[in-house]
Amino acid sequence: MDFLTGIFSPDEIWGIEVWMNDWFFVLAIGFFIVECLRYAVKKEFTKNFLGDSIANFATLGLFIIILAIVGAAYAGVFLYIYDNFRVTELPLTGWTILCCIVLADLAYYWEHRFLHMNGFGWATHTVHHSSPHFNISVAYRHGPMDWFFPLFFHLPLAILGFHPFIIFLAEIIVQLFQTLLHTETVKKLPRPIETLFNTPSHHRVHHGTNKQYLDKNYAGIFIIWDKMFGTFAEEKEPVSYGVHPQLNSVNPLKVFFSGYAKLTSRLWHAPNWGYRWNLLTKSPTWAWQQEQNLKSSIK
Amino acid sequence: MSLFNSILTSFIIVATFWGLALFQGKIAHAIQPQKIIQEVQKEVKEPSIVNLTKAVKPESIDITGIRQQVELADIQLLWQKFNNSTKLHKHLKYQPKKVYVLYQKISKDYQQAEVTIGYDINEMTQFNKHYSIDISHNSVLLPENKYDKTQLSDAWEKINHQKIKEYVLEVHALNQQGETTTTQVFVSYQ
Ligand SMILES: [Zn+2]
Repeated sequence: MDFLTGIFSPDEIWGIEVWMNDWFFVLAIGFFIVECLRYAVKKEFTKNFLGDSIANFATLGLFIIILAIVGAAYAGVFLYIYDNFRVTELPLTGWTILCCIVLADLAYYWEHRFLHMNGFGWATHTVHHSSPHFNISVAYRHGPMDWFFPLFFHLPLAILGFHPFIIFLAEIIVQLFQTLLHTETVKKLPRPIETLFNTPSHHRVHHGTNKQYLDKNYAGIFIIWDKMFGTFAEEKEPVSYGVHPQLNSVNPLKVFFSGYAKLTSRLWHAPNWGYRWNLLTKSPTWAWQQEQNLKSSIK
Repeated sequence: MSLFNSILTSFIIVATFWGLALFQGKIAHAIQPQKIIQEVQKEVKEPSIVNLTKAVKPESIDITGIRQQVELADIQLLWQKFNNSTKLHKHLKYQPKKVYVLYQKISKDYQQAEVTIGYDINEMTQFNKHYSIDISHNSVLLPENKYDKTQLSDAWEKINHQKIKEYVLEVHALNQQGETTTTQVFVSYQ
């Protein structure tokens, strides 16, 4: 009960966040080395795998540079909204943190679903999905605007009275939880865990290009959101990873900006304004299907 | 579930967990009284008359916190020290309901006193030292209300200077954020 009701200071919470982020990265690197050894034993450690993994960490580097520029503004918006528009003030306790994690996870579900449902969000989120591989390094593969969309989905929590540092802590926990899901080494976890939580198996499905796996399993920590809202799919047939159409590049800059390059070219070549509108507001799967239809009609 | 129903359900979930966070103090208290009852029962079982009377009618408050001889003009420094005492605040069971400020050994010119700022030990999971305040025959200087700093210091002028003072006690009631909502001031003469 001590953790639940003891009072933290904002500084202590900030300290926990930095500490978690740093040590989790060390843990993830350790795990990634194990994965590499496993691929080496299975003779699947290819040049493309190596290049792809390097590109993943390179996008992380680019993303960190962007964060260094916009991070303070991001935090500033939360603090401003919290200071001026909060309707209650929740104490900085473990209990508040637990409630915030559940709500931040729900917010993440909707944000993630949003990113998949329109061309605007997909332009940045496609980066995370465009790797044809699936390992810990993919978890760190970020798009240029990945920091932007969470803002709108998590800001309501500040209005409800959650201290911004607690919201950031919850966001980090939701993010870190998913990091270790990006792996093929774990097949299925015990039944109760698979029922309640997002697992490597569920998240492989999310990264699949198989028809029955498209736009499924958006969850961060709790898979129950997908089960409740009808976006869940069980991993049955082997997953083929990536996006439609495949990117086929390990050039970090190409990878990082691929989503915006693709969106720009699609908008440029669009036949009319209605089509352009659909490109921005409809699922990227729609755009891909249009292109497939066009190709087959030309043939 | 349709998109509309999914969003609606999400709002209900948000309301639920927001409510849980909002009423955590009350929930914690709902769990707490049972513990206290158990403790009282334990005390009653022991054949000690002193404990029994104590459990029935509290005549003293036990507080724990920090105590120091200070110039009353510098009391803010002691408050800072108190607020920064993470060791003390870590051992709070929940957001404290009251903070006590006890002035003893008050100098004749009212410039100095031994001041203790602390919480009721019942709100702590653990504490080192505690100080007992006999509240059986104190009198009210200021009834429970919202006061500003000058009103609080003016209250001291109502003290009967002829009598020997044992203590002046300020009791600040706190809200969920630890801000003072109301204050009471008592004085006790020897
Ligand atoms: Zn995704």
